[in-house]
Amino acid sequence: MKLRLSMVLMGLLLASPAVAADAVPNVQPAPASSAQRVFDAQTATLPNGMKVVVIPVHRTPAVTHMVWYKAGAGEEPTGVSGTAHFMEHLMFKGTPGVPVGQFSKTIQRMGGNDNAFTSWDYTAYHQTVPKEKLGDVMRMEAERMNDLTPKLADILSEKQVVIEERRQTTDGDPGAMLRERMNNVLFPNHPYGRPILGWMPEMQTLKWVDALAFYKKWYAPNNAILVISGDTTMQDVLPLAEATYGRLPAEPVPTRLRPVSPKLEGAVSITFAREDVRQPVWQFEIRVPSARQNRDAALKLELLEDLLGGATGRLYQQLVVREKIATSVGVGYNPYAFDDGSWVVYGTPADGVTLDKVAEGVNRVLKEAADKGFTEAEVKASIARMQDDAVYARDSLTGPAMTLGYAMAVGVDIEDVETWPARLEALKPADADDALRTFVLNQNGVTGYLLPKEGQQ
Amino acid sequence: MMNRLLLTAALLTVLAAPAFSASTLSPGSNAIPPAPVAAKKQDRVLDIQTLKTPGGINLWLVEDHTLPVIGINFAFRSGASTDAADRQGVSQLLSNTLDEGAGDITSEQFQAALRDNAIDLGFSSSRDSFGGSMRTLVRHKDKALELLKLAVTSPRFDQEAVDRMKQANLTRIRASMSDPDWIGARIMNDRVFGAHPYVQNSGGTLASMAALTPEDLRAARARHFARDRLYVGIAGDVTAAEAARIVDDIFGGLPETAKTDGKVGASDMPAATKPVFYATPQPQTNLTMVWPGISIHDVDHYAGVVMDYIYGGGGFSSLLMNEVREAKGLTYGIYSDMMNMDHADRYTVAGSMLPQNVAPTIQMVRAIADRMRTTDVTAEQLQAAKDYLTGSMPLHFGSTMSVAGAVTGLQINNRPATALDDVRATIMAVTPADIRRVATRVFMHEPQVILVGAKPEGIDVETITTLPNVEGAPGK
Repeated sequence: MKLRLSMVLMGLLLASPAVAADAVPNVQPAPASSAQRVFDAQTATLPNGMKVVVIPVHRTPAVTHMVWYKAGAGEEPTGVSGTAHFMEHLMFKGTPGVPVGQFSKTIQRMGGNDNAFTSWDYTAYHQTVPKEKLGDVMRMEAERMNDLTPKLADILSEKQVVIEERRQTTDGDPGAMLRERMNNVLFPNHPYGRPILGWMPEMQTLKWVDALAFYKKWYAPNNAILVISGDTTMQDVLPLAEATYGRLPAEPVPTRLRPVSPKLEGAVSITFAREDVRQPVWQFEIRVPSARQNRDAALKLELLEDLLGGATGRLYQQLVVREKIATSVGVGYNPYAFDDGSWVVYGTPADGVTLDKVAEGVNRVLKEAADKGFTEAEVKASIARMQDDAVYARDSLTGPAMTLGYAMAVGVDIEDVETWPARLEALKPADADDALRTFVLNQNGVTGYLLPKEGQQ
Repeated sequence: MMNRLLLTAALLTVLAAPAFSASTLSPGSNAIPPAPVAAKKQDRVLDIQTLKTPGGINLWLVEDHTLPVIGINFAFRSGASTDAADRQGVSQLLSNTLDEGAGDITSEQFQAALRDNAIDLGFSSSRDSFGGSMRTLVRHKDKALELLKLAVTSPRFDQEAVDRMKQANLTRIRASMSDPDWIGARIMNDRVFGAHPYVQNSGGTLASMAALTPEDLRAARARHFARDRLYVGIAGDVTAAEAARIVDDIFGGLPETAKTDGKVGASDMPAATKPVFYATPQPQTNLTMVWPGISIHDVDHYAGVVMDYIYGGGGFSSLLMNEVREAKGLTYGIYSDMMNMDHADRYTVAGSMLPQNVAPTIQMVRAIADRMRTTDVTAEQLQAAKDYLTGSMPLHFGSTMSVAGAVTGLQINNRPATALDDVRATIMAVTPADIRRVATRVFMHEPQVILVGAKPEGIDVETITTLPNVEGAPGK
């Protein structure tokens, strides 16, 4: 079963990170009742504005430590695509205290693992280590927030590495090539239309000066969120955070200014055909509200995703089980975006069935759902299972930090995550109907066809 | 992504997903090691209770009452390597159909009951074993256990569901045909296991999958499902008495033994041929190199684990990653891996790079391998490997299912319940001479080289244009 990333939802725009006037960390009081809370996280804010979130999970003597910067490929200036991700790689290229090549080695000597990832809306660095090493990890991560000192030779060889990363993960995968092209059409004039890894011609001109400008502009404690899950508590974490991240000065960080992406006028189809494709795939993607833009709409869309998707959802039951025109069909909603969220429906055809016939079937199921509506029983069952799934959210060392980090990095309020089960409780069949009619049906979007090269079987 | 998460080789071979299981002992052996004496819970990596149920089934349990969640993992030592050549994929299809209707419950009802009660139930097959796992909230445990028992004891194999799952598998195979890693694995399996059943495609071929019938599934189930080859691990919010009742209820009705013992003979690696190449329209070439490996029951196994970490298994701590990626920028990633099965052991190196960089990379991989044979690793390299391999142990036990899977893996690998506590001393005792010895045992052989993607420059290859075990029967 997939982790319910879509678990989180909504809200208020975060206030721009002001520097707290107090000289002591501001620890938020725990809410009165923790009965229904998903993570029961503890939160605080350091005097320099850095948010601190701790999710105690006392299962094994280890912790996952993450720092999320509220900046990603979406903050790159035009013409230097790939810079945010390149910067992520360069963060491993040395500081005065941790020379090049030593960051991951040091973590591994602690018995830990580390990694990092970049999206359009955030860049995150994370380590999972035995719990007694937490302070050491925080010292290392805090140092590279301000004191990175990469050497030219290491920058140049790393540029080749990210280019090889693109060749391996995008150019080598026909499905990834199609998705890249679909995004480019779905988000005109917007960074979501650019690949996170960058366009190849621009990657070949990646420069330290651009990465450095990005680093100076966005990497600051008041633009970062510290999230820790595992065998610890805020009481243990806070003194360590003050002694490490707390010593860094707050810096002026600009507000994220994203260009407006105009509405899609008309439907667009994209075909990607290559010799190595043997299984045709159909997909259709539209833009829908993200949780940050519209918390209520996002919650309804999550309900709709559950009702339509999965082995017992309407799409699979009608098209795979009953009609047998598809061998798989599914739906995916991503509410974790600073700007528009995305909604994807996809299917693979049964032997001898065309992709357009799968598309027609999907549209028919959606239209019928809109015409007849969802039943009270269907919606109740859906809400109950989503609430049950929320109990599993803490059955993991790293999962809780990931989920809260995703949410907070795109501006979703932590309370909306914590109270997700209770907010679901209030949904009615009309909410699913409304989400379907308002945001999904009759929307202009991008259709993608993944096909074998012409003339092949 | 910066790099992929490290797999911890040392633990894999202790715990091991059944996929990597291995054993030299008889699966019928009922010798249960006694529970360790008086070790306090906090001194042990996992507080494993080794139990025998009233019905006589061995059960390893780790109680954890922090969350209202129960996890069950089990495996039969009998897997896809017992699939007939013209029925390749039948164990895989069995794993897809056990939860598609059982007893009086139809497929749709069964799936709805799982989903509506937030029950994760899944089955899986590997070459050497067939397994299952289930996670449930305590509040839904009665329904969950009822469904698991039905799936294990009375699957329906209705024609509609079987056909639907066959179609899904055919889609999966065709989709995989654009994945260079998957293509490389097909060629590797064909070339490094001789005439052994391990050459087969556990996921089935387009022809064999299409031919499977409900009768084939019943036969495969009868082959795998017997108590004499069953290993069970449970973790979470459950007591020993209740866990024992659960196990007897679910598995007690299975036959004591099956017609076949689930075993196949050993497989030696054939002598390497010239590099095998299969072209695809990607810009890079995927490189795989394969040597004979070291068994997990070999006296040199843990020396091999440490050697592997230093050589290519340790991510950014490894020599391969440091020299090929970090220093030269030739690749996004290059890794070594110990491939341990019941009847064969192989050692692999894999990565992808531009075609003009394949020959230089092979040269570097060989040069570093030679260094491992002839030169002592430094004290610092050795200590770093030991620190990681022993220190990272707790990271593996962060969820209910990881614990349940671990205690099943220990059993199927014939490790005692104290193995997690003892492995530390074993790893700490590895010396530079041990590493040279084990490196010599692996790297003295000529590796089989497999290349997929863009045509590599400056390498004499045998080009193949049809993938083995993908469309039809073995070798076709």
